[in-house]
Amino acid sequence: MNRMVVSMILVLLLMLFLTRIDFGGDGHVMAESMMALGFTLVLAYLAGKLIEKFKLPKITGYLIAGIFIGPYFLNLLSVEVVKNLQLIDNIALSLIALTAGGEFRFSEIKKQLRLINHTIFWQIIIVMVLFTVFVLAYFKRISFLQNETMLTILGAGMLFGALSIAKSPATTIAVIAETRAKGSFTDFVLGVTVFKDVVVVIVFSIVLAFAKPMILHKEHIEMMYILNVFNEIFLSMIFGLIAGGIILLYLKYIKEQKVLFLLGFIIFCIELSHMFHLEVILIFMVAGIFVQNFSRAGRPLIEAIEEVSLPIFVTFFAIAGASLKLPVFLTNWKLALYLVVLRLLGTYLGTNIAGRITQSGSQIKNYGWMGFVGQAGLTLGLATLTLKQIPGTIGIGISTLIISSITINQIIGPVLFKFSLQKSGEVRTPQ
Amino acid sequence: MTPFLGLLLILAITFIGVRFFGRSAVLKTPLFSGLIVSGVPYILIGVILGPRMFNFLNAEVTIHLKPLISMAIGWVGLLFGLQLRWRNIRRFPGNYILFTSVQSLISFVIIVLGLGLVLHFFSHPLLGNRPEALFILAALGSMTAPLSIGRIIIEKKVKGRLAHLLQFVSSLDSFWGIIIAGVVMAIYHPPALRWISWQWQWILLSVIISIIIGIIFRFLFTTRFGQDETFLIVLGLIIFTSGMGFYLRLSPIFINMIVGITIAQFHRESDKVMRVLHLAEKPTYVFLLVFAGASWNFHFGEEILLILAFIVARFLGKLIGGWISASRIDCAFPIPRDVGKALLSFGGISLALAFNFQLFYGGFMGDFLMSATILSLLFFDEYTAVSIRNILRRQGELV
Repeated sequence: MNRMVVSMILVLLLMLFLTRIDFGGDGHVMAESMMALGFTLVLAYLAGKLIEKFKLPKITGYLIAGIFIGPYFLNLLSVEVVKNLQLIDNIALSLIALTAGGEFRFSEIKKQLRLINHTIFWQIIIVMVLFTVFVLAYFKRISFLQNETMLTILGAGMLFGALSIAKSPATTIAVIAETRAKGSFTDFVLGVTVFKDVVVVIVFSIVLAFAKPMILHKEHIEMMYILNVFNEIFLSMIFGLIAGGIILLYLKYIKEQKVLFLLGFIIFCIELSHMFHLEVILIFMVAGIFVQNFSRAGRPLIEAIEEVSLPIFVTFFAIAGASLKLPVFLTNWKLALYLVVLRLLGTYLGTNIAGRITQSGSQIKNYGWMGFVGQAGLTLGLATLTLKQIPGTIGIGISTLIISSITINQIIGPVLFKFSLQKSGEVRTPQ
Repeated sequence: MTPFLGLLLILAITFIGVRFFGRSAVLKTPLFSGLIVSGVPYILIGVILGPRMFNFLNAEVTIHLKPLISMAIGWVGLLFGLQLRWRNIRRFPGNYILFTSVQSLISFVIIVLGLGLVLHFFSHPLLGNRPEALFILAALGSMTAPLSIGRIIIEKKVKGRLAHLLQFVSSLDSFWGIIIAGVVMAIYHPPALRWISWQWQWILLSVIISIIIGIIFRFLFTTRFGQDETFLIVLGLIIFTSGMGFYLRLSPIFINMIVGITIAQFHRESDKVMRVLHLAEKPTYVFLLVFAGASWNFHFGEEILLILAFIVARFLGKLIGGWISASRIDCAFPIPRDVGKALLSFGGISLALAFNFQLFYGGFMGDFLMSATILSLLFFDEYTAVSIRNILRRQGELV
């Protein structure tokens, strides 16, 4: 442990020295980004190893390292560098989605399908209601809603709710991969994560279509927007099936250089998804599910991903940490805390009610909610979409508050999930 | 084509290339076997895909993939540095090291003098004012790639002292070339910092930082890590050091070599790193070759004479360097005077160095160096394969 701490300090000092040398000129940011990527990989990984000693999940270490070296703290990774490094996000998310799908076994999930459906349903209903009621009751304390009409406040409340139901599939997968957890509790969290990812996008687009005219004082609901979302989801699923088929054929007949193939194929699919406006996460989740459940290639697929998953997770979460907007959080921390508590309450109640209805065990009722706290890329994406669709003070206000609450959720999420996995007794790594 | 698709295309070629490299039947093809071993077909693929023909790997793609090239260059440097473990080197006769150094440095001097002479009479407006290009070209010309000799030894099961010496020389020959290139890039460093007023301070800075990084990582590798963890740390190390070289405008191959040498002195740790590096050795080389072809911007009209002069100077340099070493240095067995003919093969390190120069300086100078390297690769590799066989046959080590 001492060795790791000393190495971390030395690498940090070296980077501090190097980043103080400003050369300017062509290719400077590119060179800085590259140096920063190498530095982030090493430092965040060591931070993860270190934090593991305190029984916390490694990804919390990666996140904290990211915050620490990011633009709002030590500024070893400038805003520009972080932006450059976020290009890796799509590849990372695709691999994470492929893992999520690859770990999704129908045979295991169908035993809990009722519980999963109830959990998603009740979580969405309760979180939406809680947030809407909260905003209606406390709008006078929310500066950008103080002078608005009740209809606008209602729309904003619904949007807050819709944004708060999203969770981070990446966090779930990373913690499961790290703890090598296996069992019904893990399957339950994974099942909810995979299904909820699709449901959240649909619910959000429906809520947005209704809330937008309420907030912007328009008369018509944009039904085309909802139809487009359905269209994108349907096409993504079809594309995911095709992608799964190609991966399956490759794993069956060629087998060699799986990692190189997967990386190349992912890049190809990302390009295609940009061209046809498809959801990359959905494509790879479906592809993973297809390979896992319609062939025997599920295990080789997961093994191939595992070969590169460590650097991907480390980079992805460290950059996620560096991208957390600390100044935004610091100016809104009180309200953000309210939102976090409300979301925790809603998630707990939703999971607990689902557990009671389906007569599940006490583990699900008491600890199940802890698997759904983490929030990251998906919520950020939806918050950005909100900003685009609802320009002006209200759009900025909603997205700012949501981004602030993500900062807390993303830090406590993995910790709570690992704790719940330990409580369920499904963790397989030595603690 | 977007940078992402460009990367995809290179990944696909790398993938096919690695499979191709892995098939011994292909490597045993007698016709042009030297060229196939050195990877010339991948350069040609790069040319076909590059701006000269199909323009799939266009300028935009090349710019965006610069960090990957820089990383590949660093990979080559680190791998080379890790081979320089003093405990292993000193097992060989001391005169082997002397032989390697003398022929390499003589080659360097002859190439510099030869090209300098040509430039004196045939003054190119762009090249005449850039001595760093001349030095780097001579540095990469002084290197020998171990691929050809290694392949012949393994394939023909050659056992003998000359073969052994050739293998030793070709394995370590790049050392001086990389050192010279690193020093030249530091000396001709653009002014950047107030507190660095003399160019030698850049050399000192790059060496000190590299040693510090080497020590930090050596220290880190004493911790027990799994294979995937070691891979992550090695990857981080290479990206960091290569990025740092790029950032400080110092040679990443030089910096990584020093880091590699530092780590190499510690037995267990360097073995761990070496195992990981070997996993990606072939893909890295194929990637460099394809990219070399794609970014090869030749101006045959203007530079062909200079390239021809380089090829002649290199041939003479290696020949004279080998001749002086063979006649003056006692390696305890008779060495043919024309041994230099067996040390002409070009390979990954020279290519990486040419890339390094192109990344930093670009323009006509970068194009010229790249052209000289690629054409030398085409010219020398087949010739060297034949020469090695002839020399070993004459020595009685190859039947």
